Amino acid sequence: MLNARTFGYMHSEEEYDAMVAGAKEEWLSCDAELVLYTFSAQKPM
Amino acid sequence: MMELAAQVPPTVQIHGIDITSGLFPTSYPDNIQFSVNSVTSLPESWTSSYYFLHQRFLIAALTKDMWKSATTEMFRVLVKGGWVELVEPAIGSMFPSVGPHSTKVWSMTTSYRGIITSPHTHIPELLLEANYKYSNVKR
Repeated sequence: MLNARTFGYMHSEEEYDAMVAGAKEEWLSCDAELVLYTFSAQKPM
Repeated sequence: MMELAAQVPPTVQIHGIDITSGLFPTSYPDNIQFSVNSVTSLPESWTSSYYFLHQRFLIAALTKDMWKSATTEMFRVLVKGGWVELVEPAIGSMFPSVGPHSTKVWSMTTSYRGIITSPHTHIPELLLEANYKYSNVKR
């Protein structure tokens, strides 16, 4: 995403690092649970 | 892979791949091997070689076109009757409730054109398009 210039959302590496750190803190302190989907499929015999 | 290796006979060969070796462990059982490969383009020599494939957390790493390549390649390397298992998070609807930083991460991720944002609907379609016989999803 940095190589793609963050699609205009970020303007410096420091801003990007702060966003990632902030997101980590949000996930560690919120009650949200990550819902996972498991997909199974078989190759025909 | 380490947990699986401890639960299966040592004759079962377990092979892990990633696009870099950065996350490969330095110590692992003899029946585990690691290699640097991309699921979108697996070696020709692997055709019809694997009984079970497990892949997870690539939802933000692959575009829909790359997913098509991945499901087709996995189909190719499976033996007949072999199974694939894909595990992906339903993250799109959750980010806004987590916080502003997380919402921004998600906005940036989905700005990357072609990323699948609803894996629970798109991945079963891709599996069926790749000719898998049976597709099941559970939450």
